Amino acid sequence: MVSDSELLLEVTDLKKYFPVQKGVFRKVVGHIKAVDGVSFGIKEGETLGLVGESGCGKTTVGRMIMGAYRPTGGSIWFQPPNGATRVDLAAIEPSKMKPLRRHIQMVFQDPFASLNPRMTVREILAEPLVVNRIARGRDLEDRVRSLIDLVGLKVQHLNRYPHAFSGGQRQRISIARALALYPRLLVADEPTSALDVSVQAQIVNLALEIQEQLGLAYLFISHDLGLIRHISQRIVLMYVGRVVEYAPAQSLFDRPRHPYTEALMSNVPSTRPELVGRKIILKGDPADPMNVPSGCPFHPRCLYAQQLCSQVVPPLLEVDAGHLVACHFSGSLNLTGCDALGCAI
Amino acid sequence: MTQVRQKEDKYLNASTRQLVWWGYKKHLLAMVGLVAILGLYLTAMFCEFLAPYDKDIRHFDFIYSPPSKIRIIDELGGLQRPFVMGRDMVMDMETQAMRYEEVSGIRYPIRFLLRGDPYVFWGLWKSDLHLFGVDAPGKIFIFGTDRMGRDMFSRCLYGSRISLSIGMLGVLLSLVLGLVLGGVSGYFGGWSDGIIQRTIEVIRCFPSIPLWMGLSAAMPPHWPAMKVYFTITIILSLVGWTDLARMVRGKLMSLRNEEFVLAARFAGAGHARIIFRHLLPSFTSHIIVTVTLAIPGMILAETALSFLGIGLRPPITSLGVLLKEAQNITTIALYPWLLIPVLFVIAIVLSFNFVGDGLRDAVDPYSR
Amino acid sequence: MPPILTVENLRVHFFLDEGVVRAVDDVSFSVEAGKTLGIVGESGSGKSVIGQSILRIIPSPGRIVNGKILLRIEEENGSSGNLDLVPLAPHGRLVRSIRGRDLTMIFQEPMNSFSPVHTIGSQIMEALRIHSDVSAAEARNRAIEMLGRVGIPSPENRIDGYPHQLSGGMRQRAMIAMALICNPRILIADEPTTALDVTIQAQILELLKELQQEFGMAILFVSHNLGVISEISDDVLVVYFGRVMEHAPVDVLFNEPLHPYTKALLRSVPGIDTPVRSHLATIEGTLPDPYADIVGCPFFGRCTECGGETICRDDPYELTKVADRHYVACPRMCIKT
Repeated sequence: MVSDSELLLEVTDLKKYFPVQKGVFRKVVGHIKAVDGVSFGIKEGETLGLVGESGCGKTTVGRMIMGAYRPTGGSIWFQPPNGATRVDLAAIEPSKMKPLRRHIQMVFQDPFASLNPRMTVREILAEPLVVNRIARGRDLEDRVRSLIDLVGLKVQHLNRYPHAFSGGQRQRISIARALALYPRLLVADEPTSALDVSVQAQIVNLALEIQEQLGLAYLFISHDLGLIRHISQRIVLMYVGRVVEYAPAQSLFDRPRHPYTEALMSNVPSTRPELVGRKIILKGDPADPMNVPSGCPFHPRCLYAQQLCSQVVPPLLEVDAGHLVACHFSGSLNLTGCDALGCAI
Repeated sequence: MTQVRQKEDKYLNASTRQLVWWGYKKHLLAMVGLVAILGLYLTAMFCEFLAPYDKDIRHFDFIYSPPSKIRIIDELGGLQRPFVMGRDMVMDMETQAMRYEEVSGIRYPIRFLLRGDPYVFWGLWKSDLHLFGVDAPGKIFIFGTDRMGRDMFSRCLYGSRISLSIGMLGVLLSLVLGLVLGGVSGYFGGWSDGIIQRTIEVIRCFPSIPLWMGLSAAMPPHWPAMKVYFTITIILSLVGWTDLARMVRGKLMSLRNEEFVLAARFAGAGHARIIFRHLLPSFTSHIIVTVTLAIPGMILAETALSFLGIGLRPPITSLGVLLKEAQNITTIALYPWLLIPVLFVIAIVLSFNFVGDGLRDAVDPYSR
Repeated sequence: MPPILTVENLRVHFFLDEGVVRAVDDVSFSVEAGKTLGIVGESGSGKSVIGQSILRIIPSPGRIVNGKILLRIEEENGSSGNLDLVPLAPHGRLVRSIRGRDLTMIFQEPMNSFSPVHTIGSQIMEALRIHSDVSAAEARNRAIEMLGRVGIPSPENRIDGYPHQLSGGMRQRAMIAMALICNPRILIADEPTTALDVTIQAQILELLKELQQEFGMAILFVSHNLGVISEISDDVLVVYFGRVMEHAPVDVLFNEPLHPYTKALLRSVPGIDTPVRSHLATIEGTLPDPYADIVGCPFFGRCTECGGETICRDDPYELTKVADRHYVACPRMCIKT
């Protein structure tokens, strides 16, 4: 594991439980364990891919980092850029949050819902700067123009309203807005899922260019394994609120250590049919966060499950350099990775 | 090719308001309604000038006079400028009923911009200029007269003013109450939401007409006219704000979690900025639609109350008060022109409904 | 083996205030029993409208303005012929008897296909009762059997349950059961796995393949996901701006694509051999104006293989055969061969 001082963001044992209330008196009958003990770290300028299927809690993790939800447990350590000591965003008072917000910004999934339809592009881009009193007048205009240019749109677009733009263009505007405060970390919550394939490629290219130019880090949340593989240096795979595997991208794909990872990779549909090998079809549905199975949450669907798996929760342990996995039997399993299967994602 | 390009640019640079207007223009009925409402409100504003007579002046010789016939062809068959014949009241010996007969030979041409009954325009300056009329002793009763010989046309115009203004004021008051209470309820949620919602439910439990009647009956009969006017307005709006409050609450609750609101919060925006810059503008159009459709409701409510005698009372003249005079069968059978205020009510209500519908259709496709 | 569905020169136009959108502009293809035709395109390509046209459920203001949709009918006496669905009234008796029995459709959002206030069983049995004379008891048995066949556990209990009680994957299976209960000859699947997780998607695709083996129906699979299309299809139709750009067997299309649009699409998806974090090849430019009536190739202007040659812009669109079962609509390509 990387030493604490090099990490821009470190999440330790993060938890978020949502109470379920029933009845007239709103009695709490149970909890949805959306996030149940997640730990990972992001370095400066690095892209960490956060992958998982629906219900795994990846969006909740993103929102907790942004401060939209208060964690039920755990810490979110953030290293402010001015060299001060790390701050735990989970424990901080809401009033102290504002100056830190500038350093972590978010890009959302739905390009049609993330821009206020009644504001011009200029107003949308200027808002973060205005709210934080960073620029006014001529200076503000200059900054807004440089932002719109950064994302590949034109100055005349500033006068228009969001409805005049396509999905891909709106996403560019979202990105420009997120960059207005020059954050150190950008949380991208499925930013390309709602876009066409050819437009996705454009946005991905833009994201990589910006990262090179500005040196910012990404927490890239997605369910698209191929995309994650293309842009991430390290990857966290989540299942029903827990981290299942956490490794450098290359290592994860060459030799996955968790049965879920193996199954997921083999399930991704490939465009090279001749390379498709055996597909591991899992039984049943992803586990319900309201009713998490005992022990390892994946055990009901796991091909290699043993008695122990239904009894004890497997801890997240390092099995190789920088490669962590939560599986009792990962050492003895010989799972096939991408090149051998030719899973072609 | 360039034609398409130009059209595109216009759409691309248009603000939501412009798009709504262009969408609205397409509906013929909505445009008609809009013109009608503008006309009605202009009439209400300038009714002293537009009405040939003061609303309370009694023409003792012309009680229950039917509407004057405006002619342009005289007895000899010649074309004249529009005129009115002189009238005489004649008692029918057999039925004891009064009848008006036209006196031949006496013509009163209709004149414009003449001096007539004096008035104080909006209570500010004195004048006696009227848009049209006839020289004395001729009379022009376009809608006839009532049992005290008062000109119905003038009374309808003055009555519209009162009815329309109550509609607007009442709705304005409801709007303020609805926005504030609905806003607090929807944005902050929690216990404030609970209290406000339960209050709304209690208010809505009461059937409206008995509630109005009760509140009205509680008003002392000796109160001056203006006090009665404002009290009625307040009563109507106290019952009417609940619809708007619920709508505001619902909208705010759904918009609160919209991603663009979250983005503003993440950028560091405070509550005030989020409410005024992001949330409110998103449903201003819905508010306008709801308000536009609420006005006729308020006008009908006042008309109903006054018609029943528990709303406005003479000397305040609203359309409802006018209709109270037409409450018996004798009146309707013998003097049907006393029902003309109903047409005004219908015109007002229909126009507002057309406008509201048109607005709602125009706003919906562009509300996102 | 004659094809069971043939579409010839289909044109579907949407008549809007701002102009006419040529959503489907001269599309022709055929499907054989037991085979899957994948229709791939991006948003705005018109791929969904093709499926809707076959079932005659195009939303207004859309209308079929030209073309034929020929459904092969085999009579009991052995004779066979083609029934053209285009001239039939969309709500008429003949179309309604075909819809649900010979031709069915499954959609992207299973929640929207089921009525939330009726049980799953009643909705599945409804299709059966409309098209055949089975008794209520028999229909119920068949429905339970079908639910079991599509992989829903304890179907005898689920049949009386409601759609909201099932998970997304299960609902999609139930929708497949509803579509196949009458043993149709053609199943049109409009993005059925787009809203599903990867692992569930794999299950559903596997299920569809199994069911196709067992029931022998033809499948028309519409999707924007190239990977899914490549896994499920036997032949592929690439649609752009309402027109077919390329039509080829699946292995040919993905290994040796000829049309520049197909090639550009394949390049923009990161694959195993794309260097990590490299610049992805993108398609520059945007779709042409949807209200314009374009004579030549709609991809002109975005095509990087095109040297701006005027034949691409001016020559009327035409789909030409370049090899057995391989068709391409590219004027320059055609000149070369």
